[in-house]
Amino acid sequence: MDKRTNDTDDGRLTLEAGPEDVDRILFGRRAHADRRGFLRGAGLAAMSAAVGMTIPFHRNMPQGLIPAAFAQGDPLAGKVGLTLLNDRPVNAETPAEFLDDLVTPTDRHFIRNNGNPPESVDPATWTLTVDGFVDEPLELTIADLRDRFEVVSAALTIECGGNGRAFFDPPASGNQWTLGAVGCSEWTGVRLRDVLEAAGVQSNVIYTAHYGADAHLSGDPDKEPISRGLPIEKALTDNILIAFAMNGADLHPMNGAPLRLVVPGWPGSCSQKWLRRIELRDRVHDGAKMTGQSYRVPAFPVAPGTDVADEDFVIIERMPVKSLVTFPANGAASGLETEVRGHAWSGDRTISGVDISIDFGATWMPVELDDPVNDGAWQNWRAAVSFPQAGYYEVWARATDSEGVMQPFAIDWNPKGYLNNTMHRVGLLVA
Amino acid sequence: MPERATGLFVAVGIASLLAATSAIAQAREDGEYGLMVEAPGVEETFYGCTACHSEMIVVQQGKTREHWDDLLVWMVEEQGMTPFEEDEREVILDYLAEHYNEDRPNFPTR
Repeated sequence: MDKRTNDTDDGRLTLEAGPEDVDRILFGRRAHADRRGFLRGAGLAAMSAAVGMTIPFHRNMPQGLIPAAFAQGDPLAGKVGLTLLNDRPVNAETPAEFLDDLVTPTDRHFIRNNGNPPESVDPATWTLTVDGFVDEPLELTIADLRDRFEVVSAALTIECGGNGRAFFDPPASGNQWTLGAVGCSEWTGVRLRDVLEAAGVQSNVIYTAHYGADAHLSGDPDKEPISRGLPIEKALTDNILIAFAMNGADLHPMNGAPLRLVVPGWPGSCSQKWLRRIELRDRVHDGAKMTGQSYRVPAFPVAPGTDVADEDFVIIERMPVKSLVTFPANGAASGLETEVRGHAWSGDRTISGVDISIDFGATWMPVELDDPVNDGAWQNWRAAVSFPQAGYYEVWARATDSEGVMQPFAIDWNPKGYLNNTMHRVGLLVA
Repeated sequence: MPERATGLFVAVGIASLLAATSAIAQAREDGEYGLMVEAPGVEETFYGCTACHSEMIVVQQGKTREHWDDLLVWMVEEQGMTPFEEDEREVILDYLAEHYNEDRPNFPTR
């Protein structure tokens, strides 16, 4: 049976499961009286994809036998306190109170996967190809990247385009992220711009296309789980990294080891993980999840629940102004005096101010706001709060960005549930 | 369409729902079909869905029957899914529309 417990020390989901449970969880493979479950639910394709080849003697494999090549039971290994939204593919977010660090530790950074991660991620043999409309196609190892280009480190904010989708009504399709599909870790790598310029960007280039090594859920090797891109003007800005380290150590396997893009301030899907290839194109990229309604919103405001035709959608570019309260935690007990703190960010912009309210928005007070530690980093803020008497309060936070745009009260509903940047509210029991 | 609350008030309701406990998977006890509600059609739905992905993503959704239908079409046309037999497809759509509709009667608590 599938037994899961929640570790009370750190909230981490752990598996107390035998191989049969892991088999079912990872591959959906389980015995069934009429064998249909085994065959239909077999996930044999997924298992083959994970192993990287077909399994000729799969019929001889007892249920519960996990391929030795993929004997990992815990989808959140190396993560602490994340909420698992989906285990195949793995998607997990970080509760706001676990995002309290100024720079997000690796074990607190959210996971958003569209497919199954590659099994072979040897940094010594990994190569990145840069091709398409370039003067000189490149094939670079990670060592080549380090040798040929300036290595830089920067704290960079990555937020999933669907962060906050859980609050949409009517519901929007996809992982029901609440608040925690965002992080700002320190990434180390080389500038995308430097690599593209070394290859020579031809004058007809208008868009990049990014390809990763993750496998489509169907197991079809000809399908990409996700392949997105950027307008070339964006790709040539300064703060985009091809990263091979995270917080001074290897990338976490679920965060794209050994090589990924980090595109701060744009939907996380632009930051291709397990990066293998960047193609320069003379047209907008049409890879998986670039077209249709993926990472797109209607070009005009729509009433909640509206069905919108594909041709009326536009590609999301920068992410909107947003903030998070990371202390105290929602629902916490508090004394009459407390510090309140968190982060604020706005894609391609800075934050000019954050105001908080403890009286349901009737009055507001400014907080102490730090400058970003570098371009592309979120900004940390804090305030000392005094409550007039015991009771129930909500701390609301509202950021304003360098263009004077504030976080809204209500969701600008869109069919796929993107860009929810409404104010974060934290309930406190003050005594 | 029924009168819609603003996003803010919607957020209050769902936030309290979501904040109740910490992990979606806590609700995933020893059910034969993972997190899926046991009701007619669950077997077809569970095995049909989990051939490619976890049932965890299914039970988070709230869709009309028409939108579930659209999603199955998308999976076949765009994602390479082998189509269901028509009678099985109807059973699955009936199950999803009843238990995972826009009212979210079975939204996982966590």
